[in-house]
Amino acid sequence: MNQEKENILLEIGTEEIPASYIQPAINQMLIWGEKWASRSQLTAWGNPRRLVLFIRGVERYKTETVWGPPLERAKDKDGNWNKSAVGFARSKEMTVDDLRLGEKNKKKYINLDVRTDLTQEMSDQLIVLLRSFSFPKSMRWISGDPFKFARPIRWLVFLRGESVIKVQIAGITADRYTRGHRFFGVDRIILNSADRKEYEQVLLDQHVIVDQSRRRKKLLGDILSEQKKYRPDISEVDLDSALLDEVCNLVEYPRIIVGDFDTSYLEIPSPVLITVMKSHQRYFPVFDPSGQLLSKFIVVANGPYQDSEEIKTNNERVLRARLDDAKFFWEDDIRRTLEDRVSDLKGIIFHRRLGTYREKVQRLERLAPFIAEQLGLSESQIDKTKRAALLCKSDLTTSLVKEFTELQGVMGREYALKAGEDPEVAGAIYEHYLPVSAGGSLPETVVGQVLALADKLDSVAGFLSAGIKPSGSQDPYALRRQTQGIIRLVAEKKLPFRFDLLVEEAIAGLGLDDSLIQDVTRQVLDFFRLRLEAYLVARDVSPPVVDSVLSAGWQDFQDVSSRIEVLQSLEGSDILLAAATIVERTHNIVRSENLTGEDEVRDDLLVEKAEQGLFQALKSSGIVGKLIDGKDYRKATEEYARIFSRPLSVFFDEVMVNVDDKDQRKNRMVLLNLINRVYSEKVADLSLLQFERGEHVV
Amino acid sequence: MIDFQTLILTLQEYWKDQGCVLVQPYDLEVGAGTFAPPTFFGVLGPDPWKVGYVQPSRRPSDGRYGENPNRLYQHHQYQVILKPAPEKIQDIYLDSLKILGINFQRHDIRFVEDDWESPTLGASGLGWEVWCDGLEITQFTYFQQMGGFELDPVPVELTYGLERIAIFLQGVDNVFDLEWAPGVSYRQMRKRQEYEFSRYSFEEVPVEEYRDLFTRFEKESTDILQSGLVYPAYELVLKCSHIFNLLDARGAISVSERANYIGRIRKLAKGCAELYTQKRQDD
Repeated sequence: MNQEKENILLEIGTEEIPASYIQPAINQMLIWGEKWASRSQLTAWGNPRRLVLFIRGVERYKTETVWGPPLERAKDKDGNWNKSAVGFARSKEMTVDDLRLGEKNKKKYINLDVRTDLTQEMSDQLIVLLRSFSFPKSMRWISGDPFKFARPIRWLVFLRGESVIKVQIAGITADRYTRGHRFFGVDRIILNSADRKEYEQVLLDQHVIVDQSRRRKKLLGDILSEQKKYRPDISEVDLDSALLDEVCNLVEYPRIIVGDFDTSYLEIPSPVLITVMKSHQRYFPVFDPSGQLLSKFIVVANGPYQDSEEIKTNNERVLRARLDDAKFFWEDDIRRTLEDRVSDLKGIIFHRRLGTYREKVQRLERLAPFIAEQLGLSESQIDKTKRAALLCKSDLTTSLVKEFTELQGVMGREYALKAGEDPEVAGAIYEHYLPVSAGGSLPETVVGQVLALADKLDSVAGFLSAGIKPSGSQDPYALRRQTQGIIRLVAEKKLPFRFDLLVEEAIAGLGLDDSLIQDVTRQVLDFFRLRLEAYLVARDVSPPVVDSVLSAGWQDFQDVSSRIEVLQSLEGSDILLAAATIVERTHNIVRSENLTGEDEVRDDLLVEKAEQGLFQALKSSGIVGKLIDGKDYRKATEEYARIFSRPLSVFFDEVMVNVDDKDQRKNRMVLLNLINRVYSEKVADLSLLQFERGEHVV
Repeated sequence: MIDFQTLILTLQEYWKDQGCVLVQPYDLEVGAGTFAPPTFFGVLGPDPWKVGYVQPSRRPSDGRYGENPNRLYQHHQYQVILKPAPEKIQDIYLDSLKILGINFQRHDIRFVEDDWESPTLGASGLGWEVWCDGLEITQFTYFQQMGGFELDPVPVELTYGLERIAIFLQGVDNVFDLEWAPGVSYRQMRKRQEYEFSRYSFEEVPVEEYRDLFTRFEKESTDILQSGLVYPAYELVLKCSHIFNLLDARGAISVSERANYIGRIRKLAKGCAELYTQKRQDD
């Protein structure tokens, strides 16, 4: 019954929705659409004035079997349908001719295939959707109605095939009229049916590109072909994709216009110019082949303008005013050096519970040189670290950074260079904020790395000590990202640090009450360990391997990393299987015993030959410890397996551990425990690895 | 070409035709038209209210001694409040631009997200900056809260930046080059004041005296609110707000003090909104 499958078109017409809300709204519509159809039947679009969902080929009806009374109670003695059967059929607006027979629990019942029109449900569900849309901020606009949306909804199109599905919400009744471009289209266009192609074309005729990917493609193509005039080798990766996404969702019909500004503004550092263009005006900067900024910009207007001369001139005037401001700030800011400004940091609160930025800088002046010394840096590099620590936050007091907070560090470097600071010091001021995102680049200079570590350690330890922790998706001080930054620095720059050493030193600088230090240290280290797990799992180390390696010690990243490598390289090998079997069997039997590594085996209680043999093996296993100390984990694993496999297997065959004699029992437990610990305490607790049952060999 | 005074007259005429009551600029120093009583009190409560007025607005920190072509100690706003916000308010607003001679086939008009908030007034709303060829010419806000009260019906506030619009319409680069009236420039009218007020607020404001004044006005506002006098109490809030702005421009307010001052003003403003609402219900 093909003709019963119909398309659905939903268009929520709004006043201009913020650009960043549009993609999340599209996703929410898609999720809603899956109530009715599979993902492949859904298309969702959005732009500032409309959110659109198209569903291809949805059944209008759904058929459900409804059960009636048992057959014996549905017929009279003549075998005709009785009152209860007639009533049952009527209750579903059907007749006895529609009744069917079915079996439930080996008993015959009458039933009906009831067909329901889904239209009403869809209408009800649309109201649910509109009420449950989630936006970063929503507003009320209807008197006496608490209904909220990102911005006022002004029209609603809701079509099934050729008919309108009735819905009333937010003072609007759904209909079949859409609207074109605000300034280049008409504001009442009839839609005959829920036809995707027709809808898209109708809107295109009205200068609306409703499909965001088409809009983006046009925008990207136009921008690239313009930029190629100045930089022939430019490609999409050279453009700011976040800006592109934003601008794409600020317009219904993108039209690029190129403007110029006076070359004298190029004296201002280019990060300032770029930020003014992007964040204030959403302009695209233009570069020459060597990456130098040109005195040009691209503005994206909304509409198919024939004559763009005035738009260009006016945008140029606006940018000029902005650049004048920036120039004023820059010239004013460089009158005072960063060093001069250090004392101004007393006036800027880092966090209510962690003091001012001046205090933070004081902590960094202590922590950064400590880290530098641990790394064995030269005197002059330690001095540079101290200098960079002193100056690294001063740019927060400048007008430009107050105006454009995203330029923190970037401007610090500029001001430092301007004041004749050592380029390495200036570089470290910039680099100490890195990485700025999860995958962002890391500091390249060693001074920058040291200061980046110090700054992040101080923040993470500080906030956690003040009881400020991330929860769920809430991490306002980016403690997860900062901790991950520390781990990445240590891991990827191969810095020879133990996390506990760094954390303890950072905590020591916080001036906490002695009674708190132990507890705070544990909390911070727990936090680090969780982030380390996440870091390793994100790098495709399987969670069981992460668990087993970290439980044998995790403070030294380079060591963790080499143990992981060995485990991974031995995956599926007989050696690893044998070692894992030893660890696992010993673990299984002693795990509930609360034994420490301090217990010693009593020779005199060893009566069985097999246990004596196993003890001999333990005594001869010093080589394993030596290999572990030498970090030759592969060889250690081999030796461990070689030394213990056979005696342990013999032991389990011949010796009962759970005997009545308590001393004897304990002695055997101690022996097994020590064998377990030889490996699992130093390399990896292999009992946490999951092996297929069939692979147990010993 | 449309001069500054004609721009104002045109908007007055337009909003009169839309049924607004035209009131005169408020005669105290305010930072924005929102602070004037026709907006602050007008948006509270259920009664319909339509009002339009010019509001000279002082922002001491924005003073540039008359040297900057775009920043002013004092600028002018045209302020419109419509309660409840009409369904076609965007079109009604756009028509006002059309009447000013802005052709939408040649100019790029955009509604750019701007969530407005005034911590001193306990007010917030959602809406846009309206851009014309990249220039912000109006703030368009659906108020949600004022004086800490949720608003229902929801009013819309339109704040035209008159100097910006005039700069755009007259095609000049410098605000002081604007023509205010035939043969009279903005420079003649305002430049000297800009210089003097900038000097005063950046260099001369006597810090201790003003701190003291703040405290006195604050106390006076609290006291007369006790006596049930809403409007005088609110005027004292405005005085506190302006003194705060002056001290801020003078660089006399540290970051931690800042939040404290703003909190104190907000508390006074909320008290006024509360008493106003309560009195309205008693009437």
